Amino acid sequence: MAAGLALALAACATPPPASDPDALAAYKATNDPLEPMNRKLYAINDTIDTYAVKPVAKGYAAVVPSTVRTHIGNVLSNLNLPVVFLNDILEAKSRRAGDSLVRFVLNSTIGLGGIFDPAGSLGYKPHEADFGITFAIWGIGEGPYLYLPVLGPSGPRDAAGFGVGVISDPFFWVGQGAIVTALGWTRYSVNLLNTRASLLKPIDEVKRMALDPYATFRSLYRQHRESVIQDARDDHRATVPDWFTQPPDAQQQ
Amino acid sequence: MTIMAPRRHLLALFTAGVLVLTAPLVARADPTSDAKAMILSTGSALLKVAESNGSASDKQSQLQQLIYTNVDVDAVGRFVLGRYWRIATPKQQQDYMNTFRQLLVYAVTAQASSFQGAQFRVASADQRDLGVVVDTLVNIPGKPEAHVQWVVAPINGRPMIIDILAEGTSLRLTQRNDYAGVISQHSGDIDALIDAMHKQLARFQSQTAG
Repeated sequence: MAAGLALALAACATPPPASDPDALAAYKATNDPLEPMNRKLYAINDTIDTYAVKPVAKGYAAVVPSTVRTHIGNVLSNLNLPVVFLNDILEAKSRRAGDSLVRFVLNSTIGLGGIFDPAGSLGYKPHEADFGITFAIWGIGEGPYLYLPVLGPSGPRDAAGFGVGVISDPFFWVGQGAIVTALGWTRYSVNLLNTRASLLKPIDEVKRMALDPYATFRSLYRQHRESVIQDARDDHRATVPDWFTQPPDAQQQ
Repeated sequence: MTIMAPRRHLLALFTAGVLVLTAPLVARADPTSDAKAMILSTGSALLKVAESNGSASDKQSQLQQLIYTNVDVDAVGRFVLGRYWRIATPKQQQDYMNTFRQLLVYAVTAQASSFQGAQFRVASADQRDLGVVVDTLVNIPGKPEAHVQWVVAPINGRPMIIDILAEGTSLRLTQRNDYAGVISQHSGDIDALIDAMHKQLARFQSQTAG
């Protein structure tokens, strides 16, 4: 315990002195007090990615055609829709919840278990929703930056959101036994592989262009999260059908 | 004649009045539509270069011309260096800006091939605090539709690009954080960043030559 505490303290970045207000403001804006430890974890993850995950993802992308990978991505997104729907409700975004419900029903049936996306063609477009976003809508701040083993860029809010997301997934509770456990791990592994394969070029490009990839990924992660949270906040679509007299505030949207 | 004269006079007065009232509207360019038109022409020119069969160096010189004409490179460069711009010496500023300009051209040239077959349309343009934000939707075959926003500000009366937001992430802010990361990892030494930029530029140049 004492050794762990000492390690965490040793891993803390030293804040600039108050005599340098610009540097202090930049330190606070970066909000990465555990930067030395985070950078070490990033280096470990990056090594694992370079020598294990990326080569496997490259092999997978070479063997599985891109159209099939898109369909696999569709199936995995469809499996995640119950959690997205739950978060839409918790965010009090009824039109988003409606989109998620229609997407799940149509894509699971006509879309053959989510392989195809007929709901998207009908105008029910996908959106991001998870517990990290929900907590942000509820007013919880992102907290200091954390680089987690395997999971990568995060923070206390998003990491807690990830945990709640796992246990709130109905598939986490359905059935038991070796087959169900194996299916769960298969889903997780295929998701990781399919996502990594889709990011082969973008990640290579970031690493090629960035002079400090750690700081670049931190910035991209934070901006992306802020952007999806803002999208959720800005979604004020009315729940009243088009043919009904619209309330005044909805007409202004 | 006596009746015609006042009538002509009145007509002239009326015409002059209309001209005086509408002149400011005609003379004052609308920054939103100017920005929209600029993005439309720059985007089309960019795609034309990406599609062309010219050699890599031809493409690079065409893109360089396009960037230097339509992007406020110096303003972007100063933004990217952030607070360190103020503490850099004039020599460091000059060296940094010179390298930054060249790196920007290499960065765009490297991306040009991924725009092949792309189509884009301007969705909307809004005046915001940081400038006019022109919203475009980019379709690249085999990829989901991407939302790209261009931030345009008037520089010497001409609209110029000062930032690009791809799916909500600002390119200049990301690069500022990248460069600040290098400087803070070297205890605030700006020369460490300039050195890293020189090395990156040399690498890009050797790759292009090879």
